[in-house]
Amino acid sequence: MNRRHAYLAAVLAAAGVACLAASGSAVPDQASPAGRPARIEPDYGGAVIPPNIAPLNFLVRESGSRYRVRIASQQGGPIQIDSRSAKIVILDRLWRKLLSENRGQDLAFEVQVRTADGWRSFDAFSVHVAKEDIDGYLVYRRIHPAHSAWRDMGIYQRDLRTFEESTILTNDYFRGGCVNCHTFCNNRTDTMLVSTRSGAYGNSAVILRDGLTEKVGSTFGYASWHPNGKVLAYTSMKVAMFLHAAGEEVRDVIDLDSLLAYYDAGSQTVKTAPDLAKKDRLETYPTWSPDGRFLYFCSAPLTWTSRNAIPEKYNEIKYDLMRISYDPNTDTWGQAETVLAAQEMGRSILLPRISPDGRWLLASLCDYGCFPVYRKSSDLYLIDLEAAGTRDATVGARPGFEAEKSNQETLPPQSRSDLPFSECHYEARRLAINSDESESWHSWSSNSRWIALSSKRDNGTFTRTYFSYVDPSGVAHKPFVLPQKDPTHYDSCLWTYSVPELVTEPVRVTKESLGRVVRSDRKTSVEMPITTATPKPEKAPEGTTPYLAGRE
Amino acid sequence: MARSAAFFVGACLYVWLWVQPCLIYSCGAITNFPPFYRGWSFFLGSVQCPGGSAQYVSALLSQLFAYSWAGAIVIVVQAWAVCACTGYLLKAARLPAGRLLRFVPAILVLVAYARYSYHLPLFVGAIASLAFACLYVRLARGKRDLGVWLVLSAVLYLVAGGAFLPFVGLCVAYELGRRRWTRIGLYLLVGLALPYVVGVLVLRVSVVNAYTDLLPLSWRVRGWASREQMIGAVYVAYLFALVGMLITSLGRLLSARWPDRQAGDRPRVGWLVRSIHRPAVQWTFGTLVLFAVGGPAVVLSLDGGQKASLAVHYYACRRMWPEVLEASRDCPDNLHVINAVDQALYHTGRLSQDMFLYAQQPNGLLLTGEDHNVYYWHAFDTLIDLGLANLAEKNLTECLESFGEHPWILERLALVNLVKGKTAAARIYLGTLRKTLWQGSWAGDCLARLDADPNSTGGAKTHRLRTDSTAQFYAREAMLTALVEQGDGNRMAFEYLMAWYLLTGQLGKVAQQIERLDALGYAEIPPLWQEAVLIYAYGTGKPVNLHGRAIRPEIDQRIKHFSSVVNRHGRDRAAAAAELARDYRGSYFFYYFCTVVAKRQ
Repeated sequence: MNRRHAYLAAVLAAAGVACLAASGSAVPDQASPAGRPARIEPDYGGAVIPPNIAPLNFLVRESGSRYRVRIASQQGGPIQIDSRSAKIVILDRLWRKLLSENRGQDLAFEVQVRTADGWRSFDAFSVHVAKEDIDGYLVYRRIHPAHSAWRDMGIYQRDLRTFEESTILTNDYFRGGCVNCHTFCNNRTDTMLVSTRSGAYGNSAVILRDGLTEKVGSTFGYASWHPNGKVLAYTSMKVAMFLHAAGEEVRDVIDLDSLLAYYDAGSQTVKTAPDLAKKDRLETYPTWSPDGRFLYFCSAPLTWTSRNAIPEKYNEIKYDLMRISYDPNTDTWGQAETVLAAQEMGRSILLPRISPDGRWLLASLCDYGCFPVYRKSSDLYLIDLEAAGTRDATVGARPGFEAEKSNQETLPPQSRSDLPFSECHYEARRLAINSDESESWHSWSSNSRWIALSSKRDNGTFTRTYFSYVDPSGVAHKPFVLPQKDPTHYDSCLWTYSVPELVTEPVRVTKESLGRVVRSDRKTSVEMPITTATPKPEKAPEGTTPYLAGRE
Repeated sequence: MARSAAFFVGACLYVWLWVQPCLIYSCGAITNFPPFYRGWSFFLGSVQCPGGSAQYVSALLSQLFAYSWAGAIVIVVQAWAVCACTGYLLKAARLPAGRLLRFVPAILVLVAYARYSYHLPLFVGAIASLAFACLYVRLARGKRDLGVWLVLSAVLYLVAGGAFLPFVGLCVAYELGRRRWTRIGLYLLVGLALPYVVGVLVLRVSVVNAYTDLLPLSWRVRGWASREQMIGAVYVAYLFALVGMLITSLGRLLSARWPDRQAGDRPRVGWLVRSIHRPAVQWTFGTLVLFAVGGPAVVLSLDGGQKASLAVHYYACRRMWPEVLEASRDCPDNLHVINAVDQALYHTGRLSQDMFLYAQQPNGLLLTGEDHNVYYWHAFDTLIDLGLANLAEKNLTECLESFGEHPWILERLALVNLVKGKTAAARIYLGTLRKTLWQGSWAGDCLARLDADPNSTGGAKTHRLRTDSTAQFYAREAMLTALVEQGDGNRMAFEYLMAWYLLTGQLGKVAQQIERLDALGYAEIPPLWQEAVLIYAYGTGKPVNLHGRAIRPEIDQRIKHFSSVVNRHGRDRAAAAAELARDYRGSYFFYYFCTVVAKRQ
């Protein structure tokens, strides 16, 4: 080392000492304990997370001039983050390594903050890393909390392992129309549906199947693909939005009429069946059982005659959970049967979704009506389809469920699965992960261990996507919000994230291709085979009534 | 140079003091005014698509409209830039009279703003296109022109999106004059392909947007009446130089093809023509034309009606009530103006005394948004003030979709959520607002107050309708009645209810409501209500319980005189109205006679 280098080293050393002296106690080992966990946002403490999730960046809501976070684990070295900002950003590479080494184990987050009085050390909080991955991609619609007008909306996909979000289709591609109701088959994206409405290009259902994109000149409401990917069950409804003069939520929605129909992708025809389209019932929210033998749906009595006015007793409409058998080989339907009656629950049962392993049925239950995202009372309930009891027996409470019926008899799973359906009695249990605000739109991961749900728990207005781990015994664990690179993202995010669908692969068809199909004149025309009070599906709703348009 | 400076300085003063760009900023009827946020996130999100940079700059410059003087500078700089670039290109094309003609698009830019249309991003696109064409003309010398053109094209497409296409046209027109056919073919080919390759394939925007963003042809412009207003000015800004260059280039081509005939046809140049061609004469003549034609064109194009409407909206949004009443005199009949006037009268304590001094219509008192008309959204402030938080929230949310994330709309949405006790939702609107240029510190203060006291309403009024009913959502009378009957001292709701009764001629209900005056702290019956009570009492012959209050004798005298005039004219109501207007304009007697009674008959 020559003289110049020695001089430089001395200067640097002196500067380092000066910095240390200026910064007070730079060694947080001597920090004074705060005696409580740090306030962080989003609140990840106690959550169960997938081992393939993007870094859980967070904001420390404690005032200070420097922040130090140490993420300790049983396997591998800790991650240590020093920051002058309260935004804690975890390096992607280190995070992935940490998670992969600690499947099934806890991570401890130790937070230290330097204040004017020196370093403060907060109680560590932990997250548990599950053994099972979550599906790699999440598809959702982004829209502002609209009523009947909208500006920008689109369907996007997010790589859950990173922060990368890409566009599937936005309304930019067809002159600001409406895009909604994205539906996938078996958590894969090679068979999918996207519905669009456009003043310029008409209403259409865009179907991707076998690598081909097809525009069907009809309006498909809530839809579900049969596991064989050839049959798409959907709701055709006359929907109306109405508004509350007081109360927290302004908006409300009613189906003045509805029925279920199905699109046979092979013959490109629309069909229905008597029990799917009863004149005295409102049928909606179809979902197939994973084996394809049953179509589950919701049904409520239709007690009014006018299809143009909101009935006086709109707040007494409650939907039952039904199912109907189907033979895809012969295209024949059985008779509809009640799985769970609204009267029994005292609530309207909506949005049924069955886990891919066929065991669990997750539904939203709310005080009335057909649109849980606007009902603060909407909560998630789980039904164990393999634990059907007889009409006089019920399943006991387990951890993770509400303990309201904890003294009741406990039956082992699958013990009554061989019972005739008429003797079965399904029990819906309110999940403990519910909040005081609306929980709605949900989907299962392909391995049946994760659910994505739409929740307004943070603010009551803007829907965010949360994930919860559902263990093999059906216990849903503390949910966590879809992580964002900027941990303050949600503080000023005016978007609602609705209809989160977990898929194992990205949507590969380009937005330009989808947009071209939407704009195209070529379309498959379909005709509703029955004449009922329900309007034909290809007809656009009358007047200015919003139809799925501004709804979340 | 001096001429340009004089013209644009004059224009700047005119725009600042007469046009007042702050009225454009208030966005009463402008649906494409862009939001702008501080920080990298917004910047990066903006510039990642073709034309994003121009959009970002436009959004930033648009925020300066909040201050009329700054907005005037922005507008005049645009006009000057269009003028300068057009002039350069016309000069390069050797178009006769180009030095004067260059002012044409600039004048139209000024006219567009004087008509209160908003096309700033399109004008920025046009300027980028013209400026890059100027660069090409300047730099394209010798063999390097192709390289220069390719670089300029790529940069321009990234910066200004579809505005690249007029640039291609300008370059082709320029090369036409130089008869470089290979270049022309090449430029046309690349010009057509580049948006597809860069826009669609690389940057993944839709093919429609790749070719039309920042052009007046874009779907974001066409089909919206407010966005198509004065769109011709944008076309002229884009195409004037192009057409001028094409004309001169084609003219030169034709003259080259028939040189003998051209020479033979050339007239003899006389003394007058030679004099006109002198530079001093041309300059003087041009200056006279510019100031005699251009100046009046800009001044006379001012849309007074639109200015008054926007002024009422602007002042109402800022709660500048005396100014609202002053501005309303220039556009008295619009519902939103009536609404603002009633708002101003209430807040200045004059609603129950002077409301009939101004034009009135029942539907103007309370705009509910049932017709999905959300223009001039100051009207929804009335709903917040009254306590109709849900109706306000619904309409303001619609405004957010119709007008975009305008800071004033975000501010109102935060407020309405605070009124409703939805603090967490209010925080999100405030969080967004904190990133804006001018409202950031206000939002920061609000957030700090909420941090200190999470139950704080942020100074918002706390009246709020508590009884839910889906049937009465848009029903004015039912909502106002429900607010009054809540009994929480909502004096504004009471005065609006009484105003509604007056406007709709429900005098019996006015008389019934006198019993509430004690609870609401009225010392006496306001004059207009006294007049209504008298009409009711004399008309029906029924006694009215005034709950210890009295009718002023002079008002009693006035109704007797009023009646005598009406009776004197018998069936000639027009003559009666003409006579009564002198003494009774502004009274309820007169309104009732001219509207309620007239309608019945």
